[in-house]
Amino acid sequence: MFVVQTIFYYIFNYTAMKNNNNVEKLEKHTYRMIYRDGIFDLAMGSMLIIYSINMYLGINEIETSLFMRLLIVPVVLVLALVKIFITQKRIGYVKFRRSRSRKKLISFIIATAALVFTTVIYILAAGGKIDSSARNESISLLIEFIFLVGVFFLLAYFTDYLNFYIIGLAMGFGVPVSIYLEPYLGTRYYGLALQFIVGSALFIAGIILFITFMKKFPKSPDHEN
Amino acid sequence: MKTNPDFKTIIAVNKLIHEPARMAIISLLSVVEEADFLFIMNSTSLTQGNLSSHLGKLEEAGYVEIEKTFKGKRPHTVIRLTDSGQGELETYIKTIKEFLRYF
Repeated sequence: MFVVQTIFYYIFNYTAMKNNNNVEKLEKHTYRMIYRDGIFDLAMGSMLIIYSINMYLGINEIETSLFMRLLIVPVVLVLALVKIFITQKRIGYVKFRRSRSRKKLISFIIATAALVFTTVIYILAAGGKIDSSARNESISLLIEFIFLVGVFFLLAYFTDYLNFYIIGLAMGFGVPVSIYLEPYLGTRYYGLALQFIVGSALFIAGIILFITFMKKFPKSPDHEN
Repeated sequence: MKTNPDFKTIIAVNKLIHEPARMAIISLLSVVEEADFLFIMNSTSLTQGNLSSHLGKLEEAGYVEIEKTFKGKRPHTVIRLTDSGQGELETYIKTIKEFLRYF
């Protein structure tokens, strides 16, 4: 009897899970509508381009590095304003269910924690409290790789912005490639080039998406919204 | 002549939901809490007139709730699925799935 009950339990749950999966897929598909304007791609592309240029210019100079990092703020601010005042009005208003708000909160916590962690490490390294030569050790590189890939993969899962997977891989592989190839090639540019290429590709994709979006959803004063 | 009971079930399916455009509207509303007219129009690619007409029918049947307000001087219409609409959608999906089992 117990076996039969267990089988029924699994059949029921499997069906329920399958149904929920379909609803979840539809919800995800609807949610991804917010990325159709390309603003997020433009923001992420800019960040990667600025990050790789920053690494190229400011490897040994804290002022240059800080300036480049701070450049991200106005870029993101301008894109956020474009989103709020131009594209959002054309997409329309939608309020997602509570499960989506939870996912957004988790994404925010992961991103904030990762940002705080990297800032602390950066400040400690800049102040000479952490030996930056330790980065050359394989174990530190592995931890860095797992951290970067892990953070971006988690963000991709929770935000449903799938390009985070590509960004995660570019960030994760960029640093070890830079460091491992330096003795052979005499330069770190190859690792940075990976991030620069992915950043540029995202930026170009963002521009194309933005133009397509603006053409597809023109602002009409007659539209009831 | 005896009619196949499965055919009877599929013939009796809710025709208001069965219409593709209304099916799209209801499915979309079932995964969000609420959405405005523009978002539904963009997501479903329906025209303004078409969407208005389908929403009117769904509201009449009590499947959706329509709230009309103003954002500045422009009308703003927010639509949400009612419990009755959600229930009808679930029954519809169950019926269709049951019928499609034979194919």
